[in-house]
Amino acid sequence: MLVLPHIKKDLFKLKWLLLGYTFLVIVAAAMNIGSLRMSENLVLRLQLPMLGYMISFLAGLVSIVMIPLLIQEDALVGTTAFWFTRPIARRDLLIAKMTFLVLFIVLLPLVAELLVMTINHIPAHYLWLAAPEIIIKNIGAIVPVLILAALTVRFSHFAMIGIGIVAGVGVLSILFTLLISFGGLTSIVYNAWAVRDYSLQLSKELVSSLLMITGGLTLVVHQYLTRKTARTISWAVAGFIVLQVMQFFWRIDLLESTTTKISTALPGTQTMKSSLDMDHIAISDNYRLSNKDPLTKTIRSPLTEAGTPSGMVAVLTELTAPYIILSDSETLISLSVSPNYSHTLAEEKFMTAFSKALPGMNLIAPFESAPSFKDIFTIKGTEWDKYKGRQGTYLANAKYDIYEFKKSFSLPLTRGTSEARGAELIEIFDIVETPNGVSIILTEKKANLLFDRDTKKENPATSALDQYNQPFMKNYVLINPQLEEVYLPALPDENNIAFEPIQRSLSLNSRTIIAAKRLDFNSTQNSSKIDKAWLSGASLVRVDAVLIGKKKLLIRQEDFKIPEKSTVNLEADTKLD
Amino acid sequence: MENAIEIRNLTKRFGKNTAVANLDLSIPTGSIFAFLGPNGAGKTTTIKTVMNIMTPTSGSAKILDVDSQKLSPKELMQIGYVSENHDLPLWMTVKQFLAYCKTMYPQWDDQFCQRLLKQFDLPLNKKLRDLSRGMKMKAVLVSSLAYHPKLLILDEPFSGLDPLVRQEFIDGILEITGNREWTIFISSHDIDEVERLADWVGIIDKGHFKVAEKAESLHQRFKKIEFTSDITPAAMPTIPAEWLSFQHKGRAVCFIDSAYEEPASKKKICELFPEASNITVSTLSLKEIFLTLSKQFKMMNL
Repeated sequence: MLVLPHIKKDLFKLKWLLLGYTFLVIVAAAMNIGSLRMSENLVLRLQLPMLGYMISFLAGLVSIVMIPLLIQEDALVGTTAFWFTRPIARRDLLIAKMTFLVLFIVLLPLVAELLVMTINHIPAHYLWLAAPEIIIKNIGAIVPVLILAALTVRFSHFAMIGIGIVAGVGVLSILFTLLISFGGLTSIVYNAWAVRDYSLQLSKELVSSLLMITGGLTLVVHQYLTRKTARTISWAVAGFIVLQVMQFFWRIDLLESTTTKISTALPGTQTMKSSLDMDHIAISDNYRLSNKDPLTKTIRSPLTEAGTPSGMVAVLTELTAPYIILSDSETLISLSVSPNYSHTLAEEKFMTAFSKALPGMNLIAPFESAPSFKDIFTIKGTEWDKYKGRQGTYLANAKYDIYEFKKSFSLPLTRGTSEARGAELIEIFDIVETPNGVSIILTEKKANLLFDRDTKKENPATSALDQYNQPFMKNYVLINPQLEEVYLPALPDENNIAFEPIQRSLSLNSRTIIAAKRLDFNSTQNSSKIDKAWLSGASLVRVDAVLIGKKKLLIRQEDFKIPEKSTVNLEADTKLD
Repeated sequence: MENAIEIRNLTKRFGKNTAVANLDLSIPTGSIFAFLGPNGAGKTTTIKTVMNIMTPTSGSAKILDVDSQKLSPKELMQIGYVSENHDLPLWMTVKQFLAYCKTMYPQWDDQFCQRLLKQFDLPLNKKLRDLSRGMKMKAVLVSSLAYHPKLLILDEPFSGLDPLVRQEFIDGILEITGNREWTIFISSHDIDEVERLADWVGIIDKGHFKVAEKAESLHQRFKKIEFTSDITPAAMPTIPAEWLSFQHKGRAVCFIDSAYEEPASKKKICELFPEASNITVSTLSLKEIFLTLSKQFKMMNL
């Protein structure tokens, strides 16, 4: 076995690059640790991970340079490599190169990340869950680079072909998107294939990562042991196509959280009915990139759910196949319907759920209850011109998630108090008394792990949007048990962006999510004033919306009338009097 | 082992181009075999196929009694390879390079290595990238000799070297071969340099093998014949096929006899040219033999 001399040689050859890479990995980890442990400045605490993330990205770029240099030092293609004519076993060379990669590109970042998680008080149980995820993601990221490096002689070839492949795939994706868009297939493709469940999306990514790792490493081993480059390339192309097809059609959720495995036959929901609020139907223009694009309009209405069992909340998740029967021969089918329904805590049903979760308490909300408008139909401008004012029957399938609000935990109102709930760590970062009440700043850290079956997966890329769309999932309320008063926080002020940077979730990576929240509790005229005395007996309580079931309801609105008056601005028309 | 290398019916094609066609060649153990041919003749392709750097399209090659496609580190430990087309680890110093090579060969001879280093005057602490082309070739030669290989393959080793370095390089090889029974397979288009070394000669042209025999036999067989004759062009007899580059200017007649034998060849001249006088027979250099054959191949191809 001549493995060590090769490793030694590669270490020597790549020493400066390796030092730079190791430095970047360590600095990124230090940024993350520093942000979590040392900084007393909340903004810094949240910005350092972003810097750490950028440094990690830079380390990734360095590894993309290092891998081809490592492999091409003893190239597998061409006819001029030095090792071809020396007594170097192909197997030994393969072991040497893979050992190098495992040590520095896989294990080093793994150790750094586990260290960050450990210092961040993530329990050992989650470290064990995180390790295979980090390994899979790290190997998955380097395998395509490794394959390309094994099939090229020099770095310039690697870079040119790599850029060519990325550009080619980009152009194909654009062409595919244009084909779907201009072919009028957007809604069909979206409804048929788009993945809306993040857990399913992760399953798809996991399976493709595992396939890519298995297939990719097989290709690399094959290339090392046989140097049959043409065959390796044809297998790589075939594998790439199979992977794309698999990703397109994969529909098995392997990572579904136990918390989302819920009943679709929830007792007490048999008599539930969903209907439109006919007094508040509005229509307005949809945004167009240019005036040459055909005009479309969206009809919106609040939805009411009758017969929801006591203590439960029905939340609309999807509206499928809406259509309007105008007469025996005239039926309008909706072009498409937005898949993201945003909800607001001001809806009456959420208030009722809070009361049920906190019995005996007087619920004080600093906002008026108001219905939430949902997109129910999209119509072409020309069709609206033709049919506006006409009456008919509106039909659609409405999918609902059924939640129950439950008190999760209580935190004494002291700066630095924290609560560990499974993969989550919630800490009161600051308490600021205001003339009208109190502002509490919370930091939430969460291990968001692929293989954690007990916690719902959170998409760091969309978590801010998810929180905006579903503000009812985690609710912090201020409770004074002696006075039997519960204050809800003020709704986020969309016009006030001063605090925006720290209201967003920031992630060290997809596995550790850090978020900061500012909760403003303001006194109202009809309740006790939030002052020092009130706060001395108060605590912060979290009420979680727990998913307990799903329900599909048919909406059938007989007296539906297509609005005659349309506005350009949706907001203007959906504001209640 | 009778032959260090045995090539049977070897063909290598690149798309529609045939680089080597149905090549048969045996290189006796202990010989210094000069593999000659013009640029693009197929010498390097043959060597790379023999060394399992390329896969043959058809045919086979055996090296040290092992099928070239099954060459393992065990056989490669007995083979030294020096080529002008080699990607060396240029970032290494000569010392690091030799230390790295040493790890691959259990039979590495440190004393011999030191002697070679001294003989070639190689700067140990200089990086390979900072060495001249000649010095680089010398460093590779040291790394290929220090483990006493049974077979040394040199692919165009003199290409681009200045005369002084060539001399040192050849002296080095001659000294080594003077002491040991090594087989050397040397490809070159530089015939003058090879002539001093080779005891066997092979000539390849356009992928086809033309000649392979002992240098001594080649020198005996190929002779330059010159004589005077009053023969008129109309009375010129049919020239035998083995008389190459035949020229008749005025009374002077000159040709290369590729099958010269004493006294049969002279007898044949007298039969065909009864009035021939002043017959002189001179020995040809390897270069002259090669040029004669190359012209002949060209004519045959036309």
